Amino acid sequence: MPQAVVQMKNITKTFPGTLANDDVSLTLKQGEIHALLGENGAGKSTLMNVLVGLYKQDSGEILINGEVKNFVSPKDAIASGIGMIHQHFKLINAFTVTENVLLGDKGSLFISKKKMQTSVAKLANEFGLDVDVSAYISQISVGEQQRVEILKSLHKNANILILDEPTAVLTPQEADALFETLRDMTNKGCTIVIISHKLDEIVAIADTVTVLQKGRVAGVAKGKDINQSNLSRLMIGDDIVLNTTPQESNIGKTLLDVKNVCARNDKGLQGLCDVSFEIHEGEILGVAGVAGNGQKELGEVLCGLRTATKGSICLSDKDVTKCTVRSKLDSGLAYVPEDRLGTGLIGNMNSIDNSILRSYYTHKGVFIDYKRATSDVIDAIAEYDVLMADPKAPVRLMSGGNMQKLLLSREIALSPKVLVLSYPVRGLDIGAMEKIYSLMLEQREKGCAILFISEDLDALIKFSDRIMVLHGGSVSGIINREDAKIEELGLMMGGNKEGAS
Amino acid sequence: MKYRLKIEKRMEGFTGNVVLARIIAIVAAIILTVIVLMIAGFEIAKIPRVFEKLFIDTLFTAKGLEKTIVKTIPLIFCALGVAIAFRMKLWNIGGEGQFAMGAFASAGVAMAFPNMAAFPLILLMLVAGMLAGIIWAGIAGITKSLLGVNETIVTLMLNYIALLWLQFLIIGPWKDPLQKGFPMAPIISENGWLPSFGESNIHIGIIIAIVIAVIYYFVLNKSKWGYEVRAIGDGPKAAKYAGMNVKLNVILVMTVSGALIGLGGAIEISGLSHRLEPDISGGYGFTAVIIAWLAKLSPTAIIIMSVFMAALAVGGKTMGVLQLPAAISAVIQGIILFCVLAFDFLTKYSIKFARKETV
Amino acid sequence: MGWVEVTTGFLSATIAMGTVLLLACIGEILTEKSGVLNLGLEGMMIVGAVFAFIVVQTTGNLVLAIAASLLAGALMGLIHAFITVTLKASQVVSGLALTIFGVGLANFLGQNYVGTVRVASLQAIPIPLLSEIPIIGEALFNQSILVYVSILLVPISWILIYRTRAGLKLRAVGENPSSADSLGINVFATRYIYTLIGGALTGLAGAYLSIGFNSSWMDSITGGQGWIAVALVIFATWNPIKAMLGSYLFGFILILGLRLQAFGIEIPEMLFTMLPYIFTIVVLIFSTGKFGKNSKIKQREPGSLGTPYDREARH
Repeated sequence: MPQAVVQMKNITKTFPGTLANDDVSLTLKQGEIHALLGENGAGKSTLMNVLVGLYKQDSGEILINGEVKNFVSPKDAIASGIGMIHQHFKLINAFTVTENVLLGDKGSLFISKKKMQTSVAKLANEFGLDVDVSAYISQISVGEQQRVEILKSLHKNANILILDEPTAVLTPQEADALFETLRDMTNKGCTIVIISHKLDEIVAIADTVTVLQKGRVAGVAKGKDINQSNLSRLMIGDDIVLNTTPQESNIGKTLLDVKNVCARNDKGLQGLCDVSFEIHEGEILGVAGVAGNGQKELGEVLCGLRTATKGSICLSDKDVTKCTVRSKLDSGLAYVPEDRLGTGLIGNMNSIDNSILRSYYTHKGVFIDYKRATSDVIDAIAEYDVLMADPKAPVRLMSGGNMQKLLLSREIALSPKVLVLSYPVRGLDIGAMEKIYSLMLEQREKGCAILFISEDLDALIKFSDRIMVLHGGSVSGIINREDAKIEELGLMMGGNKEGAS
Repeated sequence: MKYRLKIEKRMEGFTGNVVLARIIAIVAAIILTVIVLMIAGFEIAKIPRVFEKLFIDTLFTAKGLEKTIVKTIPLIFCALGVAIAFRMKLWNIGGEGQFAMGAFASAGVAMAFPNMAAFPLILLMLVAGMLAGIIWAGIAGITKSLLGVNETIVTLMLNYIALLWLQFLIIGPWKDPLQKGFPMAPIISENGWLPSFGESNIHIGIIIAIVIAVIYYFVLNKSKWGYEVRAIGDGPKAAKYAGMNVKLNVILVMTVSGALIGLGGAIEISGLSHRLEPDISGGYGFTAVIIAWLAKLSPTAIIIMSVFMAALAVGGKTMGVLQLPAAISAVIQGIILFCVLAFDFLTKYSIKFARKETV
Repeated sequence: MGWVEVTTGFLSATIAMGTVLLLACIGEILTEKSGVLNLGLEGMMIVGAVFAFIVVQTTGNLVLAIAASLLAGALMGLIHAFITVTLKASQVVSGLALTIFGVGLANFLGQNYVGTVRVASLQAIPIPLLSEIPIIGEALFNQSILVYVSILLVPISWILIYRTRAGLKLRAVGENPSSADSLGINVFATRYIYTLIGGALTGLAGAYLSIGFNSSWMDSITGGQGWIAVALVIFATWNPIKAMLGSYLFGFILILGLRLQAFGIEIPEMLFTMLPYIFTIVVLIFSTGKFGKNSKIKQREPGSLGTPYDREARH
C-alpha cells in the first residue's frame, strides 16, 4: 500500500478581500500522479503555494511523511523534497540553463563554468530531459524552458514535484512527451501533482483527482470515476436555480460575421485558430469552454485590443477587422471584459468618471459635460439597482456585483448593435447574477446580437440560442439550444469535435 | 467594553489614512531635527528659536513674507510641472534643467530685443521659456514613448547638460564686459522686467502662478484631455480599452510638464533676477519633486507646500544669526522627505479601533 | 615644460580624478546588480568627504578618517535600504532625499572648516620598479593608496560578480527576485548588503576627494560627481572593467577641460564637461528599451532595477 507522502489538513488561507482556501484537505500517495482540478480562482495555485512555502496558511497542518512541517520560506519546502514548476516560470532570462539549475546551491566560493555545465548535462541525461546546458533562457523554446524547471527541482533532490498548468504552453506532441517523462519519473519513485483545468489530459494521465471549487474541495475521484463528465460536474458546480427565463426568440439578420480569424496569445503562440461564426439580431450566442482556450483572445480581438493575424470581422456588413477600439465603438460594438477592475473600470476613479470611460470623447468641446454625466449615472444607479453610498467614491470600494452593473450599464448606454460579455457573472452573488442575466435578455429583446462567454454550462444552456464551444483556440462545434446536453458539451470542451462521439 | 487596535493590510494598490500618515511624518521630522541639532552641539534652549526663525519670521513678518512669496513663485511652476508628469506616472526629475533652459531662452530673447516695447517683449520671453522647456522635456518624452527608454535617467542627465550650458554662456559669450571680477551675465533691459507690487520684490509672477494653478485644476479635472491623463495614470489597461492614445499622451504630458517648468524659469528672469545666473534653478527642480510628492499632486496642496518649502529656504538663510549654517534647511528638507516616505507605508494598512471580540 | 612632463602630469591627474568616479561607480554597480537604484550617490559621497575631513582635522589620523567615511557612507546606504527594501517605498524619491539631505548635512557640518587647510593628506606611495617606467609608471604607480585600492576593486568585483557563487546569487536577485526567492535566496538580505557596500564605497570616494585631492574643504566639494557616477554605471553597462575605462575617460575629459584653459586654448571647459552626460543618454538609448531588445544579454540592465520586491504580491 503506497505511503501517504504529503498530507495537507484543513488548510485555510485568506488574502485581503478573498477567501482563497477554505478548510481544504489533500492526501498525496507515493508514486502517484495526482491531479488538482478546478476553475480559475478555485484556489489550486494558492494551495500549492502554501505547500511550497511561498505563502503561510492561516490555519491547518502540513505533514510530510507523517511529520508535521512548518514552512517559513521556500527553503524549508525544498529541504523537505518538494519542488514546484510554476505556470509562469521562475527562470532568469538573462542566465543560462546551467546557471538557472545550479542557482542557490551551497558550495565552493568560486564557480567554474565547465564543471557546472558538465554536471547539469549529466543530470539531464539521467532523467531523459533534452536541454542545451549553455543556452540562455531567453533563447530557448517554452517546452525546453519547462524541462529546465523540472531539472531545477530534480537537482534539489525533489521527489514531490508540483506542475502548475504544465501543458498550457506546450504543443500536443510536447505534452505527450512530458507525460511520458512524468510516468518514468514516478517509476523512479517521484510523486507528481498536476494542477490543471484540462479534462482530457487529466483523464489520460491522473491516478487520483482532487477537485476544488470556490476554495473548497468538491470531491476526490479515483480509478473509473475519472472521466470527463463526472469531473466537469464536480468542477462546475451546483445547479443554481435562476428565475430569469428568455422570451421566444425573434432572430433577424446577421449583425456580426466572423470568418477564419486567427490571433496570437500573450505568449506569442496561436491563441485563436480559424474561428468562424455569425450572430444575428436578437440572438445570444453562448461560448462554452474551459478557461484559457481562447475566450480572452476572442473578446479582445472583437473589441480591438488585440490584432487578428488572419481572417475578417464584419459588423452589419462593414469590415471592421483592422479598426481601432474607438471606431469599433462607433460602429456599435460594446465589450464587457472579464478583467472587471483592471481593464473594464479604473479602481481609483469614481463612478461618474468610470461611466464616461467609453463615451467621453463624444462630448462636445474641450470640457466633459459632468452635469450630464452625473445625472446619467444617478439615473443608471436607480435603474440598475446599484447600491452605492456615494457616486463620488472610488469604484474599487464597490462590491463585485455593483461594479459589474455599473460596467454593463455603461456599455448598454452606448446602444450597441453587438454586445460581447466575457464571464459577466464571475464571483457575483445570486441577486447580482439575476440582474445581469435579465439585463442581457433585455438587450436580446431589443435586437442586440450578443456573444455570451461563460463557464457556467447551465446558464449557457438556459440563455443561449446557440452555443459555440472553444477548445485550444478553435471551434469544436456550434449547436442549437434544443440539442445541447451537458455531457456532449463537456466532451467538446475536452477537444472532441462536434458529432465525434 | 474593551477596544483594541485592528491593523490590517489593505488590498494591493489601495491607500487611505493619508492625512494621518503626513501628520505623523511631520511630527517625526520635528523630533529628528531636534535630535540632529542636539548632536551638532546646539543649545537646547535655543532650539525653539530655530523653528521660530524658520517658520514664524518667514511667514508672519512683512519682510519675511515678502521673501517667502518671491521664492514660492518658481516653486509653484516647477511643482505643477512635476505633478502633471507624475500624474501619468512619468518620473520627470529634470526640473532643474527645464527651468534653466526656460531662463536661458527668456534672457536670450530679452538680450536680443532690448528695445522692444515691454508687453510684446515680456510675452515673447515667456513663450520662449515655455518652448525651451517643451524641447528639453520633450527629448525624454519622445525617447520614452517611441523607444521605451527610462525617462528618470534621461531627465536627470539633461539637468546637468543644461546647467553646464548656462555656465558656459555666462563665463563666455554672455559675460558682461562691464562686470569686473566674478563673471556675470548682463542685466536685461527694463522693457523685459515683469512689474512688481509697489516697492516690494513681489512681481506679478505670483498672479500668473495662481492663475496657472487654477487652470491646471480645471484642465486636469474637467477637460477631456485631463481625463485621459488621469485615466492613463490610474489604469493604463483601461485607458487602452477606452481607445486612448497612450504613446501620444506620453509625449504630450512631458512637453506640458516642461512648458510649465520652463515658464517658471522665464518668469524668474523677467520678474526677479533680471539676469541669467548660473544657479538660477537653485534646487527648485528637486524641491518641486518633494512638494509634488507631499501634496499628493493636488494644486491647492502644492501651493501650500510651496509656501512651506520657500519659508524653510528663506529661514535657512537667516540661521547665521544663531550660528547655524544655511545648509540646515536642506538637512530639514531631507529629514521631512525621509519621514514622509517612511510613514507612507501606513497608508497601506488600515488602522481601526474595533471592539474586542469576546469568546 | 617638456611634453613628457605634461603628459605624465595629465595622466596622473586623470587617474586621480577618475578614481573618485571609479570607487563610487563600482559601489553603485554592485547596488544596482541587486536591483536597487540609488540616486543618492552625490549625498553619500559628500557625507563621506566631510566625515573624513573632520576626523583628519580633529585626530590627524588618516586611517580613522577613511574608516569614518566608510561608516558614514554605509549608514546612508542603510537608510536607503530600509526605506526601499523594508518599507518598499519609491527608490527614486528616497535617493533624491538622500542627496538633498546628504549635501545639506555635509555643508552644515563642514561650515566651520571651510577654507581650512588639511592637517594630513594621503601621500603618494610609489611602487618600486613599476613607478620607474617613464610616463605610465609615474602616472599609474605613484599614487595614493586609495587609487591602488580602486584599481584592485575592478578585478575583485568582476570576479565576485561573474565567477563566484555569491555573485550568481547577487545577479539572480537583481534579475528576478521572485525566482531567487523561490530558490531560498534571501532577497532582502542581499539587497541590504549590496546597498550598504555601495554606500560605503561611495563614502570612500568622497574621502579621496577631501583628504587625497583638494587641500582644503569647500562647500559642495563633490560638484556633481556623484551624478556622473550614476551615469557611468549605465555607460559601463554594469561591468566593472568598462567602469574603469569609463571613469578614466570621463576623468580625462574633465581634466582636459581644466587644462585647456591653462594653455590659453579657447575651447570652453563647460562643453567638455557636458560630454559624459550626453554619452550616457546615447548609451541609454541604444542599450535599453526598443533597441535594447537587440543588445547583448550581458549588457542589459538588471531586470528588477528600481522595483521593490513584495513576496505576496499577486501577479
